[in-house]
Amino acid sequence: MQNRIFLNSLNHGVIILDTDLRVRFWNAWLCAYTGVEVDPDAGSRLDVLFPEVDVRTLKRKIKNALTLKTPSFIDASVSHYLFKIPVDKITYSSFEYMQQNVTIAPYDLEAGLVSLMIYDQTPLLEMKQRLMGFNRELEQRVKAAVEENRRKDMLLQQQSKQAAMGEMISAIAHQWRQPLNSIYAIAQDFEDAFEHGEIDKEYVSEISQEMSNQIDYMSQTIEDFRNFFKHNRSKVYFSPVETVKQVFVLLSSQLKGSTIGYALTNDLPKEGKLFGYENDLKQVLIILINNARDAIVAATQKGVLSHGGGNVSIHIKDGENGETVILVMDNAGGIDPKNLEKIFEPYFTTKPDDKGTGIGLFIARRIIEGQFDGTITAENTADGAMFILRLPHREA
Amino acid sequence: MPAELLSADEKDALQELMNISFGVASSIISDSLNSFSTMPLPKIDAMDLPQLEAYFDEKFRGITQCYIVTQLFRNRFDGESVFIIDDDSAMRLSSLLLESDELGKEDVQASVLEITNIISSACIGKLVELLDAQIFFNPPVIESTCHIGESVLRLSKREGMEFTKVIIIETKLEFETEQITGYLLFLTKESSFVWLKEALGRFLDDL
Ligand SMILES: Nc1ncnc2c1ncn2[C@@H]1O[C@H](COP(=O)(O)OP(=O)(O)OP(=O)(O)O)[C@@H](O)[C@H]1O
Ligand SMILES: [Mg+2]
Repeated sequence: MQNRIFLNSLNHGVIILDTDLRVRFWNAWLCAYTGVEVDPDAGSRLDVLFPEVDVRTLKRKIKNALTLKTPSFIDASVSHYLFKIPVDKITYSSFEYMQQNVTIAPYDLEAGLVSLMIYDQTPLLEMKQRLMGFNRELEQRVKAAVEENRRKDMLLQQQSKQAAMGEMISAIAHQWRQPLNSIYAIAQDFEDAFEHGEIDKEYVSEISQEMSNQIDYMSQTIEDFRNFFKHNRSKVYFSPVETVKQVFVLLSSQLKGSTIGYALTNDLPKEGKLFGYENDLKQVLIILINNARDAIVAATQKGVLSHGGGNVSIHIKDGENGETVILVMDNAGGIDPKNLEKIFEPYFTTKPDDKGTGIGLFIARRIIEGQFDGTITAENTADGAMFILRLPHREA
Repeated sequence: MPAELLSADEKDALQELMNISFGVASSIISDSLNSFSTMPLPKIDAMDLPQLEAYFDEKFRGITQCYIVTQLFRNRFDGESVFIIDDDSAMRLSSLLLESDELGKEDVQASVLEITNIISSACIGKLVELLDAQIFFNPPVIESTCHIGESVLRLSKREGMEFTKVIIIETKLEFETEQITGYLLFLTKESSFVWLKEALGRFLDDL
């Protein structure tokens, strides 16, 4: 074998085999790694030296290489090895035996010889395994994070619904206080009148008229709120001016109860129209007005604002890019500048536990961006906070 | 189909070369499988690579999982052969090759690699031999997928390998009891495709 020196200096295994699997050459690399020396003249068979060799497959591949005059292959990643070479146990390895890529190439067609080139793939496959493990772990973590997010989102939605309900119930309580008081007074008067013998037909019809008025007013309140909660899940054209007016009606008793003034100014050149879910915009306005109310009440308690001096004003106008702009302003001193960045984050609140969860503005932003393709931002004016809604015009 | 990439004569020449190759491949496979098999003359088609996705969407409708084996060959005829076989066929092929019904995933993969090597070497080897060229084969590489067209396109867009043309060779292995269908593709570079056409021309002249 005239190539002996060359073949012995190669950094991979080389075997020359005949079709009966007799070893005709065994290079130095193989001696070093297997600890087995092979005398080419002894005619030792590979499957005798290494009984684990899959004789049938190897013979088939040798035959095919010789017939086709092109190489056949053994792939380490699926077949692992041709014969066992224990992996050095000092270095950590998840493989017990060297993982081998083998190329079986025709060597001498006349003599029926093939060469087997054996390449150590262990480090590569090890890397691949670790990478796969790493990927799996990553995948699991991403999945867990997504699941956690979904859970949080659901909780948030539930909380926001509850928050809206809570706001409503307290608004209804305020709306009803006045008619309930009237009815109570009528009942008192009725008793007095009876004692003084003043009850006549005229008196009864007057009282019953008065009671009906109050009860009508109460039913109307309930009707307004029912409409608000009714999920009319179709987008419609609506006038933002009307929407603001309705919200002020809903919250009027509550605002008056806290002696807070409110006003709407409309600068739209013609009757403005928005397209979308009107109730969603109502919810945003309620969130903003309630925040202003909270801020005014707090400022009044601190003595920064005189009693009865609190104001919420809403201003509607056209924006520079043809969008509708709604400004919600108060005079309660504004938002601490270091919080301006954070107020839209979920669960950010400066209020005591029983007063705020910190989801109001988060929900508001989600509705404005998600349902209206608009923006909501906050800034401070000389007197207080100003929330700016920009709602682009859209076609149905 | 837009303008044919191969003329009728060129297609005939390629058909003839493939017929010879398939003869060789089928006798080797019969031998290997210890079971008589024939490979009917292959159907040949050539197209620009971007059309491939639609082609496979059509051919593999309803098949959910398959193996794609790729084997690069390099020299003047630069390209890649791609063998596609559905999971079910691969399983049956493997049990014939390994004479066993209890096969692991790796056994099936090893068998698919081996069959690909035989068919691809037979076809490409014969082709370049008859066309008087030398060629160097890389070992085949396997992947399992359910998006055939997409996967093949992705394969063809790997760094440094601008394959633009594809020759499709639809193969069938017919056994006494069953039939296994696979697809062999040759993806080639623009320059190799031109070279192939020239070589086919010379082959025709020699007839
Ligand atoms: N008009 C305002 N004036 C001053 N600070 C405000 C105003 N509106 C909002 N903020 C600040 O932004 C914070 C977040 O408001 P947000 O509505 O998201 O939550 P919250 O009102 O604290 O709780 P809730 O979930 O009950 O609405 C408030 O805690 C407050 O510090
Ligand atoms: Mg709030």
